[in-house]
This record gives sequence, C-alpha cells and structure tokens, in this order.
Amino acid sequence: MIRLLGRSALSIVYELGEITLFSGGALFAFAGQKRRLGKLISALHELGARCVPIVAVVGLFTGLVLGLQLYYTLLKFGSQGVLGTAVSLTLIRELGPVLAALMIVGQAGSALASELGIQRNDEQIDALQTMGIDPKGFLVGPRLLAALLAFPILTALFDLIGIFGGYVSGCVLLNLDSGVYWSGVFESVQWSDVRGGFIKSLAFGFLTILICTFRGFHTHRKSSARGVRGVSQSATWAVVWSSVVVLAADYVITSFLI
Amino acid sequence: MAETFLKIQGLHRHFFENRVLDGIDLEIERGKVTTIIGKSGMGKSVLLKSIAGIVEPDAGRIELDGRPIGVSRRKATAEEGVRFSYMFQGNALFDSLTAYENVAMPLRESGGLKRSEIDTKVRDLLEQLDLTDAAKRYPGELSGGMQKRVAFARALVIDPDLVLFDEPTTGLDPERKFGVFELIAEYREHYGFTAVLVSHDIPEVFKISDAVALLDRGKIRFFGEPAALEMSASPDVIEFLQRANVGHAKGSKMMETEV
Repeated sequence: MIRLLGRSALSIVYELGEITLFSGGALFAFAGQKRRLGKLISALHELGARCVPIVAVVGLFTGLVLGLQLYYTLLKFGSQGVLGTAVSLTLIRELGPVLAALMIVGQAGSALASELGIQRNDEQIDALQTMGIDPKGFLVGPRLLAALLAFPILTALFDLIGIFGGYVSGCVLLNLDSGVYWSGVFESVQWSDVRGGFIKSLAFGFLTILICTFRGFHTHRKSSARGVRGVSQSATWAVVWSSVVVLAADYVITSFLI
Repeated sequence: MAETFLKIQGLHRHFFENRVLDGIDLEIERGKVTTIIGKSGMGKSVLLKSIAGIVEPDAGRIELDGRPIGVSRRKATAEEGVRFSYMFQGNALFDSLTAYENVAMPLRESGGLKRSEIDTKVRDLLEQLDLTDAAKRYPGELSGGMQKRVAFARALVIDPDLVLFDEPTTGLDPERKFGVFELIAEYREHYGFTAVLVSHDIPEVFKISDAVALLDRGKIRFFGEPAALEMSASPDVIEFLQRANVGHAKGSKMMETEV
C-alpha cells in the first residue's frame, strides 16, 4: 500500500516536471522559430475566433438564467434593485472566467489534443524533427501564447454578453428599471474584480491549453490504446483534466484574491 | 575506392525486453543506394530512425561525413553543412497544407532563402515531378502515388546529401512501385545524394541498390552487393530469401538435393 502510494506520488511529481519542461521548451523553441507572427495569428484564429459563437451563446444564456434566478431570490428580500450588482459581480469574479474556459476547452482544447494525436500517429511530428523544425516550438508554442491572449478576451466577451443577458431577464422580461440595473453594474464593479477575472482567465488559458497540447503531443506514450482509440483517449483525458484543473485552480486563485 | 559517408558502430537499442538493435556496424558509401532488408519487426525502421535522430539509441556511434552526430543531430548536421531528409512510410504530409506548402515548408522554416527563391525552387521541383497541377491541392485530394511524389519533392527540396527512405513503396501497386524506384534512381543520379532505403520489395529494389544489408535478430547478417547476396552461403541469407520467394543459387541447389 505504502509502495503504491509512493509510486503514485513519484509518478505525479515526474509528470509535473515533464509538463513544466514541455511548456518551457515549447515557448523557448517558439522564440527561435521563423514566421512567428503568422503562426500566432493562426493559433489565435483557432483558439479565439472559432470559439466566439459558443462563448457568446453560453454567455447570453448564463446571464439570462442568472438574471431570472437572482431576481426572484432578491425579490423575497425586497432587494431586486441590486440585480445588476449581483449579476455583474457573479459573472466577472466567478462564472465568466470558469464557464468561458470550459467552453473553450470543449471547443478548441479537445480538437487540439486530437489534432496533435493524429499528427503524432501519422509521423508528422517526427517529420518536423527531421526537417530541423522543433515540433514543440512549431505546434505548441504559438498555441500557448495564443491562449494567453484569447482566454481574457473571450472571458470579457462572456462577461459583457452575460451582463446583457441579465438585463434582458431583469429589465425587459421582468420590468425592473433599466437605470437601476445599469447603475448597479457600473457602481459595484471595481477594477480589482476585473483584474481578478483577468488573472483567472490567464491561468486557465495557460493550464488548459498546456494540458491539451501535452496530452495530444504524447499520445503515443500516454494512451493505453494505439491508433484512433489512442487519439480519442487523449482528447477525452485532455478535456476531463482541463475541466478539473479549471475548477481546482479557480478555488486556489480565489482564495488568494479574496 | 568509394568513400564512407555514413558510419555506424556498435548501435544498440532495446524496447522493454526486446533488443531490436544489438550492435549494428555498418558503413555506407557516399553517393550510393544502400537498402536495408529483413523480416518485419526486425528493427529496420528503428535503425533508420536512429540515423535520423527520431529514436535515441542506447549505445553506439553514428558518424556522418566523418563527424559524430549526437542527440540534436538534425540541427547539428545542418550547421555543419550536411543536409539530410527522411521520407516516411506513410508520407507524413501535413493535411492542412497544400502540396506546394508541404514542399516549401523545410525552406520556409529554415529561413535561408528569400520568398521568391523558395517559390522558384519549389515550382521547378513540382514541375520535374509532374506535380504542377497538384500544387494547390491538399494531400487528401491526391492519389497515393502523387502523395509519394509530394513527399519525395519535400525530401529533395533542401538539396540533401543523404536521404533516408522508410519503405517508400508501401501501399502502391506493382507498376507504381517500379515508378517510385525509378524516381529514386533517377534523382540520385541527378542530385548525387546518398540513399538509405528500407524495403520489403525483394528482388525489385535490388535493381536500384548498390549495396544490401540484411538485418536479422538485431545484427547485420549480410552486407554487400545484391548479386553477392543471391550467391551467399549464409544460412540466414538463404532462409530470408526463400521466405521472400527469391531464387537463391545455393538455396535452390540445397532444396533440389533434399528432394
């Protein structure tokens, strides 16, 4: 039993070391690559632009539901006037960064892990190596940097659309005064709230895309199955663990920010 | 006398309990075509990948043009002016790039040439390989033979000194296989590169091979000219050629005597 625990602990430490070296190696190698801007823009399109519709839709419905639930809860205490405050702070501090990250992982992270897994199986990663191109710098580096740019922007989009959704629920559907709603939003949101959400989205972006690329890149070593099943295992593992890490990191960061 | 271009000494590589390469010694001459043959799973591709630096050997030494090459061998060899290419069994073309972009990739990423120079070089090569019409098409839109030619063009675009071919005719019909071998022979003659092939196409591949190495149970059991292989008295060679359904002078006589 003790041996098993020790082996598991060592394995986790080894994996963490490996993933740290992987991220460092990818960013360092990317710095030495040619045509960096083009690769970064392409990665931004993949992680950012393609995720805009899903982030917008989920943001809208989250805001709508939040507006509805909070309105009736606050009504019990006769304080429905603080709906704008409640919706905006809930979104900016918590739900925005977490849900936007989970949506991006579902949309782009799984695709990323699968794509790299297929490239590994088809020897495209080996081909890069034989061409003298560092595969980590070429395939992983731009995506890690793009995640640092795309996640905060998409989180901001999620927050804005969510706050608008709260307005639709509270003011358009339930007849709350729109001036009360918006003044609640503008007066309660502080720079520290925005900064906290920004820090979270940066951390979630780096961690989730790192997990997805690491797993996809090492499909041949980390999956128990080969070929197509190995790729599907990688994609599933990447999405599940990215989601777990988002929630765990959210707790850790929140405890430091509060 | 021909000069040794690639020298392998005491190369070892194991996977778990399996000693795939168990002390490989091989000297490959400059400008020649050397073919590595052997049964499936005997480590031919592992040997080729060890030369390319994709697989790291457990022990042994590899010298390219008289210089030992280490872990970051692709980069190191490029810096020393020795260029090499690898043509993969499954072509390893990038699905999201067109045939043109696939061929141009090694030049674009190395950054040594201007865009116009790269364009001229890639278009010339595509034209030579009869791929002009395929330039804007993606690998998925090309036939197996065309994909091979695109992969071949990508291997040639850097003007390599050494080209490693890992079963270059896999998945092709006999006519196309012959076409690929002709292509390799023709371009080796034209560009003068040294070629190392792994192939199962016996005896067809012998037509373009200057030397043949038989890899079996982790060691090179025969190294010499194809004609000498067919005359060899080595039991390993006889057994292999009989399994490959190739006529063997001594093997045939032995069979007749047994009957």
